Amino acid sequence: MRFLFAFTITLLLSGCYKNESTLTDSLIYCPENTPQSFNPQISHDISTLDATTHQLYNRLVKIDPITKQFIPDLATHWQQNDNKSSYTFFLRKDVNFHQTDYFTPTRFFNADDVIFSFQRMLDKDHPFHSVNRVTDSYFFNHPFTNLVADIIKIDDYTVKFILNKADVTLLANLAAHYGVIHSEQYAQNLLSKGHPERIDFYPIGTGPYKFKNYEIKGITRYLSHPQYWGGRPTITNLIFDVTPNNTKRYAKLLSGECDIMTYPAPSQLNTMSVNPSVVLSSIPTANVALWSFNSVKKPFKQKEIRQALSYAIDQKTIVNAVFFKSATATDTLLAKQSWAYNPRSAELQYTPQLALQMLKENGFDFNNIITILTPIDHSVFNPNSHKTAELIQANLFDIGVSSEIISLPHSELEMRLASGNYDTYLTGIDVHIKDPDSLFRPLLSCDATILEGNSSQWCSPEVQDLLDSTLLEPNFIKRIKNYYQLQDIVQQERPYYPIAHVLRFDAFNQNISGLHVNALTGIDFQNVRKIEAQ
Amino acid sequence: MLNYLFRRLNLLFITAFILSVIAFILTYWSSKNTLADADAGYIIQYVKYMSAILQGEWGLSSIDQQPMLIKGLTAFASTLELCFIAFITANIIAIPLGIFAGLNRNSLLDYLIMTIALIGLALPVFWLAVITTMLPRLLGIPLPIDGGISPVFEIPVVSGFILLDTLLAADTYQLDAFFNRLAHLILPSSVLSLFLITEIIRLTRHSITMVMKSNYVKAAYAKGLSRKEIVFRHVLKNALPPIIHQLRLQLSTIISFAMVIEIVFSLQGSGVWLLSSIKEGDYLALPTAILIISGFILLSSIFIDILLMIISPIKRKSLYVD
Amino acid sequence: MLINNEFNEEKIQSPLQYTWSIFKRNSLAITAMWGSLILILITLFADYIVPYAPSTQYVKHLLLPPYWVEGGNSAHILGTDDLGRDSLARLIQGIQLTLGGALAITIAVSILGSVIGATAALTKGLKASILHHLLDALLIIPTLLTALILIVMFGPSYENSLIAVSLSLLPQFIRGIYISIENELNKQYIISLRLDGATNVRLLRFGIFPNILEPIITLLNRIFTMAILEISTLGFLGFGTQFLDVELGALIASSIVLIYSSPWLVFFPGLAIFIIILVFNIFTEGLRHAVIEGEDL
Repeated sequence: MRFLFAFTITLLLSGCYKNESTLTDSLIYCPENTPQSFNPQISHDISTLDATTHQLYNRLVKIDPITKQFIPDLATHWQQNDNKSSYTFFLRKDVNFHQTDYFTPTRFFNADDVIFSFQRMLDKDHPFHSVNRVTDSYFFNHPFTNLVADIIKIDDYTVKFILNKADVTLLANLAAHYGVIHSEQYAQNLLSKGHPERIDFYPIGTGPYKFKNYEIKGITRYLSHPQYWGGRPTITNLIFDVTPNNTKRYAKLLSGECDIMTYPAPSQLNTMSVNPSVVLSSIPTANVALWSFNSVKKPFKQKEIRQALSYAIDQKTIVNAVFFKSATATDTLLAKQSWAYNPRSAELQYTPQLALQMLKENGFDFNNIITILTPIDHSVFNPNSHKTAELIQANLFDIGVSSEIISLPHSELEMRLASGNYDTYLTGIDVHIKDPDSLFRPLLSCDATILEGNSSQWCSPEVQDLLDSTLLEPNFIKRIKNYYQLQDIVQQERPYYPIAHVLRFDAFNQNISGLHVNALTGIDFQNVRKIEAQ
Repeated sequence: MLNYLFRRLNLLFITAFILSVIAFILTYWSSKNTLADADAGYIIQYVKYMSAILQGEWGLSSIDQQPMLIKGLTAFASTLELCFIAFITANIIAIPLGIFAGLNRNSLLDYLIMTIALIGLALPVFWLAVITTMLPRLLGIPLPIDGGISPVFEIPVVSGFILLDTLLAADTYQLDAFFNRLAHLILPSSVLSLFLITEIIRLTRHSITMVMKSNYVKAAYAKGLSRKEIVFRHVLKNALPPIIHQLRLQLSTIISFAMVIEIVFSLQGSGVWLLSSIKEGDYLALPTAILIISGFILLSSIFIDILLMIISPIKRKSLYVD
Repeated sequence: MLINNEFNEEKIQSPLQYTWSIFKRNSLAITAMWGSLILILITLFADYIVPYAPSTQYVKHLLLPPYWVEGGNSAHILGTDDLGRDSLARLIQGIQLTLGGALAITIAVSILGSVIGATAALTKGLKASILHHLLDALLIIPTLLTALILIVMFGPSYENSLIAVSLSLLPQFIRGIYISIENELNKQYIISLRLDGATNVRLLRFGIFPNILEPIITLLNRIFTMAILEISTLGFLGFGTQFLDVELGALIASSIVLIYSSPWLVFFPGLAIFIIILVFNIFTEGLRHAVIEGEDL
C-alpha cells in the first residue's frame, strides 16, 4: 500500500514535470567535451569549433556544402589579380556585432575588424598577439604567416590581402574555422579596461547566436542574435550541455533531455539506426586513425620491418570491433573524396605469413618487446585507442612479436613523445582545411615536430621537396601528379599504417530539422527548427 | 548533565582538532612545491593554516580560481538535499514495515520483509544506480536520468540547496524549475532510499523486538492493556531512540553512498565535484571535503547525542562515540 | 561424569561440536556455507577453472549474447564482450580479484585490528585516550573519502585500492573489538579470573574471546561486506585495477558503454557481487544464531 502511495506521488510529480522537448524555442545540444575557449583561431579541437565557428562568428567566405564552391559570407564578392598574389574583398554593409551585457557595439562591421582579426595572428607586435599564451600552439598563426604578407584597408568596406607569393590556398584558409572575424571595437574596449584575455572567453562576433554564459559544469548558453544580418534564427535559447558519457548522451536524447547529440558510441549505431524516432546524420571526414612507426629508432629504421608489421595487422577486425560503422577502413592516408587521392595506391592485405617471412628475412629480433604508446582517453579519430592497441597486440602475438601497451594521460604522453622513447604510437590526425597539404605536411615534413603530428619522425629530402614545390605549384594538373607521386612514396615507405577514416555522426530527434554539420568547421544551428514532439 | 555536556564538547574540540590536522597534512601534501615558507616549523605553519581556515580563506580551486569553501559548500548542500529526500522517503516506507516485522516476528510477512531487506543490503549501490538509469526507457516513464536540473533553467545559487533556490527563482520560472529539480531527484533518491529502507527496517525490527521482551511491556500486558494500546503508548516511544542513535552511526556510509549515486547520475554534488577535482589534479578539494563533510557529521552527531540525552538519560555515561 | 563409549549420543560435546550441531539444523545456512566454500574455491583456483584465458580475444565472436539467448554460442556460455573476450572467464577473474581482495582485507584488518583493539582495551591512560580520539576522528570521515584520499596519495592500482580499503575499514574494526572487550571486562567472571592472577594474554584467550564470538562474527561480516562494496566501488570509479586485470566494479564500468547492445555485460558482474554478499551474509547469520543458541544453553 505504501509503495502504491509512493508510486502515485511519483506519477503526480512526473505530471508536473515538463520535458525539454516541449519547449520549441530552446534547443539543447549535447556535445562530448567542453570547448577550450570561445575563439576558433586559438583552439582547434572539434568541441570548440562546434561551440563557435558557425554559432558566434562569420568568415569572409565560406564553402557551399553542396557545390563545394566558395560563396560569400561577410565578403559579398572578391577579386584576384592575374598572378594570384593579391586578393581584394568587398565587405557586407550594415552587419551588427552582438550586443551583450559585457559589450555594446556602436558601429557596424567594417574593414578594421577584418584587419584586427588577421593581424592578431600575423603581427608579432600586435597587443593581442600573445594574449592567453596562444602562440604556444603551433597552429595559431601557422596557416597565415607564410601566406599573407600584408592586409591593406582600401576603404571602410574594401580590404586587400597581399600574399608573399602566388598561392591558391588563401580562400580555403579564409573559409577555415580560424578565418573568423572578431570585433575590433570590442578588442579596444577590453584593452582600455585592462582585460585583453577576455576576448577569447567572452566572445563577440557577428554570428546568428550570441554568447550568454558558461557554467563550469559544462553548460554554455547562447541567445539568438536579433539583428543578425542573415535573419534571426527561430531558436531563442541555444544550450550546450556537455555530457562526456556516450551512453548517457543517448539516454538523454531518447528522453528528450537532449535534442541533438554528437558522437554516439560506435556500438550504439545499430540500435540507433533502427529507432524510428531518432535521425542519424553521418558525414565523412578527412580525419584518419593511424599507427605510426618511429622511423628513427631501431628496428623501425628499416623499411621492410615497417612493411612487415603492416601486413600483420587485421585491419578489418579492428575497424569492426573498435569503430563498428563509425569509420571506413582505409589503405591510404588521404581520404577517397579528396581530389588528390591516388586511386591506384597499393592495397594492404592482411597476410601474417608474409609478415613473418619478411621479419625473418630482415633479421628482426623476436626477443625485442615493441612498445605501443596510446593516449589513455579517446579522441576524435579513435573512440578507443586502448582497445585498438589490444587488438594490434594480439595480431603481433600471432606472428611471435611481443609487445607492451603503454597508455598515458595527455601530459605524460606528450613528455614521452617529446623524448622520442617509443617504438610505435597509436594516434591520428584531424584535418582543418580541404587542402591535402594540411594532411601531409604535419605528418611528413622535416619541419613538423612529433607533437605537431610527425610522430614517425619522418624526414626525407624527396618528400620534403614534393611538399614544398606542390604548395607553390599554380598548375592544378601538376599538383595532382605531385600528390600521386607523394602517395606512392608513402605507400612504399610506410612511416604510418592508416587504420580508418572516421565518419562524424550526430543524432537528433525527429522534431528537429534544418541541422547542418560540416566535417571541417563544425556543427551549424543557424537554420535549425524545432517543433513540439508528439 | 552538565558534566555530560562538557565531555561531549570536549570530544567535539579534540576530534575537530584531529580533523584539522589531517586536513592540514593533506593541504601540505597537495601543495608541497608551492608552499611559501617551507622552512618555517610545522607548528607555525599549522597555526597559519588554521587562522586562514577560520577566516574563511580556504584557498582557490586550480580549475576555475573560485574559492574552495564556496565550491565545497555548494556541492555538499546538493548532496544533503539528496540525502534528505531519500531519508524522508525511507522513513515513510521503512518504519511501518519494521514495526510490523518486529511485532509479528517469524511470521511469513516478517520473513518476506527481512528477505527484501537482505537483498537491499547486498545490492551494490553503483550497480543499482546504473540499472536504474535504464528504467525510464524500459518502463516508458519520462523521468530524467542525468544532471541535477535541466540546463534550460538558470538558477542563481543562493543557499546551495537547489530545491530552495528554485523556489526563490519562482518569479522567472514559476514552479516549473522546482518540479524539474524534483523530477531529477526521484531516481537517485529512490536508489539511496532503498539502502536506507533496508537499514531502517532491520534497526526498527530489532529495536521493537527488544522492547517487546522488556519487563514493562510484560507488566503492561498484565495490567490488561490491549496490544494496540501497548504498542502506541509504550513500545514506539522506547523503540525509536535507539534507531536514531544507530542511524547516526550510518551517517558517513549514507553520504558515501550518496556521492557514488551522484557520480552515476551526474548529479552535481560532492561526489561529482570530488571526482572531477581529482581527475583535474585539484587536490585541494580533498582537505576541503574532509573539513566540510566530516565537520558536518561531527556536528550532527553531537547534536543527535544531546538530543538523545534529553530523551534517554542512560546514554549520559558513554565516553566515546560507539 | 561417566563417559560410556558405547552410547555415542551421551558423549558430552565440545562447544564447537555443539554449535556445529545447531548450525547443521539450519538448511539455508548450510547451503550458504557450501556456496561460500565454492566461491572461495573459485577464487583460489580461478586460473585453473577458467574456460579461456580472460584476455584472449576471439575476434570472430564479438558481443555474443549468453548461449540461451538467440544467437548465442555454447562455446561461450555467458557470451563475449566487444573484443571477443569470454565473459565467463572475465567474470571468474573478476570474482577472484574482488572476493580474494575482500578476504585478504578481512584477514589483515581482523588481525591488525584485534591486536590494536585488545591492547587499547587492556591499557588505560593517555595512550589509550589518544588512540580513541584519533579513532573518533577517523570514524567520522566517510570511508569512500578516506579511500579516495589514500588512492590519490599512492596512485591508482589494484594493490593500492586494497590498502586504501583496509585502512579505511580498520578504525571500525578496532572500535568494534574494543567495545566488545570492554563490555566483557566489567563482568564478574573476568574480575575473578584477574584475581586468580591470569595474565592479559590468558585473560583474552580463555576468558574474553569465547564470550565475544558473536559480536566478532557480526563485525567480520560487516567488514567483509563493506570491503566487497568498496573494492568494487573504487574499481567502478576507475581507481582500482588498470586495464588488463578486471575486478567486478571495473568490469561494470567498462561495459556501461555497451549497455544498449549487450546489457548482460553490465548485469552479470553486478549479480556476482550481489550473490557473493548474499551468500556470505546468510552463512554468517546462521553461524551467529548457532553461537547465540549455543551460549544460551
